[in-house]
Amino acid sequence: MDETEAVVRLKEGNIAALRTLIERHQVEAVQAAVLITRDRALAEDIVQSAFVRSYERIHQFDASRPFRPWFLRIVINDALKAVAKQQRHVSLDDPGNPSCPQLIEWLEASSNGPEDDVQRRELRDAIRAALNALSPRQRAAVVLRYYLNLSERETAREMGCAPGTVKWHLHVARDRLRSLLSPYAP
Amino acid sequence: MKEQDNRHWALLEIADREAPSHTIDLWPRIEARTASGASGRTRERDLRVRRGRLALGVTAALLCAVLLARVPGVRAFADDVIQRMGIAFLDTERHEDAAVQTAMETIRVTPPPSLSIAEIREQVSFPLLVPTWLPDDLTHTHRSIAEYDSEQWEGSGQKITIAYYRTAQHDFEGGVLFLSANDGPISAPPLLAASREQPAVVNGQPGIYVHGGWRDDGRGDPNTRHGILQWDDQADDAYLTWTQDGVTYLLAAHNLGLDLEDLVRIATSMTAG
Repeated sequence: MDETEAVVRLKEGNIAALRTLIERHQVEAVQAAVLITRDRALAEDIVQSAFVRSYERIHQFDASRPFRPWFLRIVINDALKAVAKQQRHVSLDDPGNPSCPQLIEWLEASSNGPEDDVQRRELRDAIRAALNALSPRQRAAVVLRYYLNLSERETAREMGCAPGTVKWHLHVARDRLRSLLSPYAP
Repeated sequence: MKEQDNRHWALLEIADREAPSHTIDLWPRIEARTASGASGRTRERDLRVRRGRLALGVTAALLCAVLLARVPGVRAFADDVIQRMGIAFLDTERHEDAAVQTAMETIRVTPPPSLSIAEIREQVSFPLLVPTWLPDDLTHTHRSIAEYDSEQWEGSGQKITIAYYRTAQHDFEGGVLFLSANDGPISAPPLLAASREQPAVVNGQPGIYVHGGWRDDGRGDPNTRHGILQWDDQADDAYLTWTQDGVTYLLAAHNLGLDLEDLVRIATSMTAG
């Protein structure tokens, strides 16, 4: 069953069609929500509720349009709201935050990522820790642009702001990541 | 692109480590939730309401037809038409088209649903002014409320954004005007070049106007830069921000050819009405 057919069947009340949509989008949605909320359980709750709401409101959805952007928009907005409520701040003093000499170069470099597994793991862990220190909206901008691969214009549409503002969010996020990671530079 | 690939790669790895794809299976819980009837009941309630409205409409139409048929003038007119034409034609083809259109009609909602001014005012604690004058072609509006980190920014933690588009597709390049309001400093201030700030006055309150925007392709002003961004005075972006009654407003116009005079005119037209 393809996505359009699943949406049409869901509109007819066929609950099995929801499973098709869940299986197709759950990984991307949960992972995007995790990157924003930094909380796996919360992310799953958000996505689960988003699927149920989509099911309840599917009659409002135009089946000729793609389901993914409509659904991910619900997930991103809900994740931002959830984080705003939680006001969680994770310290960068996380003992699991190792040093990595290539971080600064990597963030702005045009070369490929590190080949070595150890370096990759160190880099990933350091970026993950730095990601925690961004504001939720900066994280959302990074996730929309670099995880979901939306264009700056699409990102602006999702965030409800002008394209110039997205450039600003991304630039500040990159700047902040760079300054947060600078202690690990050589 | 490679740089973006790298970041995508890193985020993918981080996401897959924190939420491994093979461990994500929401279906059983969602199935249990939908089977428990909570959402099913919502859908059934929606359907019942819609069926009820349809039945009410059909009954009202039939009642009107019966009552009109009993009015002598109407009946005489109908008899007169039938007598003169000899036969009454029904445009069945057209009728079928209309029926199909009704059946296929979809409700086009741009998600998330745009809120009404009244809904916004119910949800936020501060007064909201809205423009009573806008350029004629900004006819497509979308209103929303966003949460922001009220620990980092002053205010209630809510920001209202109203977008006025030229096109029904809400196309940025077609031109858009954003109005944002929150009861503190702007929650997500656009990074503007301080050297381009111009003083402005809105309803006697001091404001700031900026024209132009940042670009990241190296074709802006090399002397006005922030990291890789360079300022472009020719960019069709205009910003006006001011504070009134404790609420900070920002008007941001993109691809509309608006200048200071236009934005001030929009700003001064804003009322609580």
